[in-house]
Amino acid sequence: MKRRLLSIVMVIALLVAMLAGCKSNDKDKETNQPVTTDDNKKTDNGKTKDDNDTSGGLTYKGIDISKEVKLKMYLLGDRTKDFDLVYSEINKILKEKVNATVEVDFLSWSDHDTRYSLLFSGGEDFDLIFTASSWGHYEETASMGGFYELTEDFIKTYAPDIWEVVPEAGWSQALVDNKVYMVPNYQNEFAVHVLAVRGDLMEKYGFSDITSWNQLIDFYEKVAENETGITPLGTQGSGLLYPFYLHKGVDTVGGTPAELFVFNTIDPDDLSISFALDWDGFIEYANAVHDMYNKGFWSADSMATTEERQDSFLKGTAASMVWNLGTCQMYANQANQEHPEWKCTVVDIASHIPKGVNPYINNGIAINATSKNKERAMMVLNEFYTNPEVFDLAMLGVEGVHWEAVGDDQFIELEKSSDYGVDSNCNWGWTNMEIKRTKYNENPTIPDLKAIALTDLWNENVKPDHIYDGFTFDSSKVSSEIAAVDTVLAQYYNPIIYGMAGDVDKAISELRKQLENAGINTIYEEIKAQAAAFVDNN
Amino acid sequence: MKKHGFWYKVKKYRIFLLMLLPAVIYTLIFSYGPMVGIILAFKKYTYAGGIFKSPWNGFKNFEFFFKSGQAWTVTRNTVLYNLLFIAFNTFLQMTVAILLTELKNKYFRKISQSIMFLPYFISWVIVSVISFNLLSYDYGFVNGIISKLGGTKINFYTTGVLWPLILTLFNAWKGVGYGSVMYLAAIMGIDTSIYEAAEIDGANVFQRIFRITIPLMAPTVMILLLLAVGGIFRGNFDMFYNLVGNNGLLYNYTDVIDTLTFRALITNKDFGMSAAVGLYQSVLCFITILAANKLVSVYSEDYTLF
Repeated sequence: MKRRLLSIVMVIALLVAMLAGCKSNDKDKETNQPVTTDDNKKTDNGKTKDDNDTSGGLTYKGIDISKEVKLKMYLLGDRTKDFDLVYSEINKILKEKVNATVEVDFLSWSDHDTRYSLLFSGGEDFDLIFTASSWGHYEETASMGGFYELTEDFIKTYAPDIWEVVPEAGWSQALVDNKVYMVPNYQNEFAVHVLAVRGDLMEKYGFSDITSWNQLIDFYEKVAENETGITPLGTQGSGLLYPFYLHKGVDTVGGTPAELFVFNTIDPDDLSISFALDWDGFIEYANAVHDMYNKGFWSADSMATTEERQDSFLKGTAASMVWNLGTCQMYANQANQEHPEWKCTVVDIASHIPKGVNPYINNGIAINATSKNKERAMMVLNEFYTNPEVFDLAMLGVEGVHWEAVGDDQFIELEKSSDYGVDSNCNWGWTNMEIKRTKYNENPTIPDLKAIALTDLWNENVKPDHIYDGFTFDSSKVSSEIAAVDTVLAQYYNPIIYGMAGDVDKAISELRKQLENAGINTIYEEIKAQAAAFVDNN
Repeated sequence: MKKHGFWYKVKKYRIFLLMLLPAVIYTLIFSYGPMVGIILAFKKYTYAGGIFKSPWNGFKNFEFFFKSGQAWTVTRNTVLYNLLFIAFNTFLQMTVAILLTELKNKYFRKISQSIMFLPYFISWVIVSVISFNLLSYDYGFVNGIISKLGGTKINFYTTGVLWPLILTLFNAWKGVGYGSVMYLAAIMGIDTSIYEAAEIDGANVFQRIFRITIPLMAPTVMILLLLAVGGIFRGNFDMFYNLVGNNGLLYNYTDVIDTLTFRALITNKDFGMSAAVGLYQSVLCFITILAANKLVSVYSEDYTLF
C-alpha cells in the first residue's frame, strides 16, 4: 500500500510541476502582450520618423519594406555542391530589392513523403515551400489547412508581376474548395510517356521507327523470342500502362486512386468519367499484359525488385524503358555514351494521338499558413518568378561560373555546371517560360534530334484543352473509403497491371469485389458530383 | 513489527528511490504523456487545429480499417506470425543458450556467440537486399543452385505460401544472438552447487539439462514470454515492409496490421486514422496481456508480471 501511495504522490508532484510550467507560460504570454504592443507603437513611431526624415522609405511596388526580414524556404531534393554560393548571390539581389534574404532547407527525395506533413503538424517556422498537385502534396496539405490562402487582392498587391504572367487556367487549376493556395508554374510541359529503345535491336529486326502499339508488341515479340539475357522491359513490368492509356486517348482523373478513373482526353465534349473496370480498354490491357508476361517480356522479379525504371535498360538487360521524354532522352544519351554500339533512340508509340500539356499546378510554391512574413514571402516569390536575373541564378547558377549566355534566350553549360546542375535545384515552382533560357546544343545526338522532332510534332498537334485536365479530385470527404481502397490496390490491382495475377477474368472480378467492399462506388459518386460542380463553375 | 511512517520509508530508501527516478520520469514523459494523443483517434485532424482543437468525428477514423475487408486477415496474420516467432525464437534461443554453456572450449564459445550476435546489428533494409539476392528468380543464389542441379526454379516472390517459413527463418537468424543473452544470464544465475551435487549422484549431461537447467530457467522464460505476448498485435513493420515491400502477390500471407495501415495512409496521411489503428492494437494488446497474466497466475503466482 505504502509503495503505491508513494508512486501516486510522485505522479501528482510531476503533474503539478507540468501544470505549473503551463501556467507560467500563460503568464509570460500575458505579460508579453502589452510589451509587444508597446514595441509596435515604438516601431510605428519609428516609421513615422523615418517617413518624416525621408531617409529610409524603402518600398516595393509601393509597399513599405523598411524592416529587414529573413525568410525560410523548403525545397525538395538534395543540396548541390554550389547551392549556397548561388543563393548568396540571389540573396544580394533580394536584399536590395525587397530587403529580405532567403534561407533554404531541403526535404530529400527519399523522405519528403513523410517529412512534408510533419513540417506542418510540428509547427515548424518557415515561409515558403515547394508544392505540386498530388505528387507534391498540394491538395492534402491545402485541405488540412497547411497553406495560406492566396486571394486575388493579395497576389495583385504583393506580386503584381506574377498576376500578369500566370494564365487564368493556372489559377483555376489551383482551386481547392474554391480557394487558391499556390502559385503555379508557367510552362507547357508535355505530359507524355515515351520509350527509350535499343537502336541496334530495332535495326536487327528491321524496324526503322516504332510509332504504334502493335509495332511495339511486334518488336517485343522478336526480342523475347530471339535474344537471351535481355528482355523487352527488364524489371519495369508495369511500364506499358501509361503508353497504353495514351494510345487509347484516355487520361486519369487527377487526385483519384491509382488509374481507376479515366476520361476521354481527346474529345472536349465528352464529359463522362469511367470506372476503369467497366471500360473495355482496361480488360484489353489486362489480357494483353498477362499474355506478355507469360511470353517473358519482363522479369518475374518485377514486383519484388527495388530497381529504378532505368536500371535494367542501362545494365543492358532490358531492350527499352518507359518514362517521360526528357528522362528517356537523358538515359538514352547516357546508355549511348557507355555503349555506343547500342544506338539507343526515343520512340513515341501514340504518334497519331494529339498530346496535351501538364497542368500548371504540376509545380508550384505555397506560403505556410503560420508564416510571420506572408507579404514579404510573396514579394520574394515575385522576384524569383519574374526577375530574369534571379530566375537565371536559380535555374542555372552563376553566369560565367556555371553557364554562359548565348543570345537572349539560350545558354551553354560551362565546366563547373555540374556543381550546381541545370534546372535541377527544385527551382521548378517558379518556372516561367517567358524568361526561361533553353540549351544551345552544338552537337546534338540521335536521341536529342529525335526528342526535338517529337516535340515539334506534338506542338503541331496539341490536343484541345479538356476541362478535366485541370480538375483535381478532393478526396477529403471520402477519406475512409480512399484509405480502404488504397489497402486493396497493392494486393489486387498491381498484380493485374503487371500481368502477374494468373487468370485475368478471375483476378478482375476479385478486384471488383474488394473495391466495392472498400467503398469505390461512394468515391465514384463523389468524383462525378465534384466534376459536375467543376464544370458548372468553369 | 513496528510500523514506520511513509516519510520514514522515503528517507530510508532514498538512494533506491533516486535510482528509480530516471526510469519513472522517462516512462511518464514517453509513455504516459503521449497517451493524451489517443483523442486524435476520434478527431478529424487539421494542421490549424492540431491535436486539441481539431473537430471531433466519432468513430469515423476506424471505418477504413474494417471497410478494407482486410481487418480480419491482417489481425490473424499479425497474431499467428507473432505466435510463430515467439515459439520458434524461444525454443531456438534457449537451445543456443544451453549449448553455449555446455561448451567447454572458452574461445570457441566466445567466437560462436559473437558471430550469432552479429546479425542483430544489421538493419532490415540490408537484410532485404540479402534476401532479394538469395531468392530472386532471375539472379538469385538459391535459384542459381537449383537450376545448376537441373531442377525447376522456385518463384519465391510470387508464391506466398513459402513466406511464413522465410520470414520466420530471417527473424530467428537476426534475433538468436541477442535473445539468447537473457537465457545465458539466467543459466549463469543457477547455483553451481546443484550441478556438483547432481554430478556426484551420477546424473549425465541430459539429466542435468532437463532436470536442473530448464526447470530453473522457467521463471525467466515466463517473464520473457509474457513481455512478448504484450506485443502480439503489433507486427514488426521494419521486417515485413522491407522483406515484402509492395509485392501484393504475397499479401495474403504476409500482410500485418502495421503494413496495411502504412499502405492505407501513405497517400493521404490522415493522422486520425493511424491513431485509430494504434488504439485498436493497444486495446487488443492490453486485453491479451491481462488474460495471459491471469492464466500464468493460475499456474503459479511467482511467475506473473504484476
